[in-house]
Amino acid sequence: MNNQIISFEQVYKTYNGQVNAIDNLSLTIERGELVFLAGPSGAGKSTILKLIAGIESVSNGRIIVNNIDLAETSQNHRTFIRQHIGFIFQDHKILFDRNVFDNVRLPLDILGYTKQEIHTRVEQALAHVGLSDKINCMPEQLSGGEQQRLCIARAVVHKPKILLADEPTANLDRDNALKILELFKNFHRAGATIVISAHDESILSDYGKRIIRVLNGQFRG
Amino acid sequence: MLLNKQIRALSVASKKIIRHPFEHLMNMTILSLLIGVIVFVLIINNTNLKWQNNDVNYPQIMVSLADNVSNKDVSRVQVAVSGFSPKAIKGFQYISKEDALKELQADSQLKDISSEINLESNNTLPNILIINTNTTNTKILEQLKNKISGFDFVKAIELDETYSNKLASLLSFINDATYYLLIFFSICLILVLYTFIRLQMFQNKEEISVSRLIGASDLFIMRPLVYYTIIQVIISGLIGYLGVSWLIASINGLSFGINLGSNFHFIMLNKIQIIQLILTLIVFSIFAVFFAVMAVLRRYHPR
Repeated sequence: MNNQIISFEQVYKTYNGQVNAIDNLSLTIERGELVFLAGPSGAGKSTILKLIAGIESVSNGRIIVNNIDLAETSQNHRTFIRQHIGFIFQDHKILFDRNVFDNVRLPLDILGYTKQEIHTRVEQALAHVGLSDKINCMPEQLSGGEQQRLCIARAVVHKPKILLADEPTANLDRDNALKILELFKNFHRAGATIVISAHDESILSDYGKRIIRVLNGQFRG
Repeated sequence: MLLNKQIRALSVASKKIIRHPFEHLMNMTILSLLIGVIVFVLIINNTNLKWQNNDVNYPQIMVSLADNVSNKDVSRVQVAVSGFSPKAIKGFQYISKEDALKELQADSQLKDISSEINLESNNTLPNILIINTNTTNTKILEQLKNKISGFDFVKAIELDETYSNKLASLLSFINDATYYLLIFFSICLILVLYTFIRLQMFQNKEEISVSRLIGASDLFIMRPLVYYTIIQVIISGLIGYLGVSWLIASINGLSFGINLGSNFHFIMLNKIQIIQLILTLIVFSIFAVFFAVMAVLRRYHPR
């Protein structure tokens, strides 16, 4: 069985036919791997994650995720593929008109889980990220670190095979950033394939995992 | 799993309306008025059909028969006419020249005429067969006329074509007007629903955007909107129907005897029509949601 879960083959991504966000990128990520994408802001890290999730389409080349060629799937099909990917957005994408519980349950609603299953899974996810006591809070009552953990809980609540995190430690102090990375280590131990982007390489050095450095849409080092 | 999705969508839609009833008041008022107008047009259609069947005087064909005509001859005409177009014939009335004279003599105002023109010794009144029709279709009436004129004992045929044409125009105007009004207001209803749904989607664009990013299908987004629209339409429909019922009850108390017939009154929708109306409103809601969601999502790519 092919052990690759994500594969980029000479991928190009241009915006408006001019700006090269990704320039001839090839890479493979194996099942169960924890990979860091490092690089400065605007290097193309977020674009790589969005390409994996099918939020963006490639301009040229192939991206294969879980044996599905994303270039050959429709926008609708890519939406279904995203149901099995957990994505932690840089800007959190939290819904501020509903409480923590209702935010975290959203992926389970999309997948059609029962009320009972939703309760169990949401409570488990919030326990994992240490937000059990905030279950009925509104998002604006949470600190920046807690909002980040809420976003992580929502990304892992349906136990996806692939977890993509876009700058999950941005805007957090070092202590909170390390706590968040510790959470990812736990999910990694549970078997998930995790791709994390970060512009601050100093906090990644302790983890000894694979680090892919990106600059101007290309690998560096 | 599908049932869970339906239950969730219904629950989301109901909560949205229950939590913000005043936010939806304007929508429901407009929908109530529009559905009320549709109900009223349906009632006019119902009433029109009943009125056409019972109270409208359709053209008569008056056939003058030869003096020596027998009852057998009259039956031959009746069979031929009925066989030609049974639906177009309401009935026959045969008045023989003897019966006509008796009627004339029995009428206190006309009996002097019969004695003056000496009808008793030489009855010159014709044998008349009156054919009461049930149609204003001039083509059918003309064909009937031709059919009857084929009998050698038929002396003359009278048909008031002007009346027939006027009546045909009036009835077809009423029928066409109700159907066109129904189509017009149905299209208005779908467009209003479509606009409300787009506004609703615009209000919830953040939720839709996040849902799309984490894998919500078009159906997932569409489902609560379908229930939301159906609930609104049914509540508005009920309000509209009750309003029109009250209006009709008031109007039915008035007298229309002179112009429309002594028994004229508006006919409310029956149970089957109400069920048909509800189903139609549900179908309209689904259509409107489908087109609104497709129109919005087709041009909308979350980032």
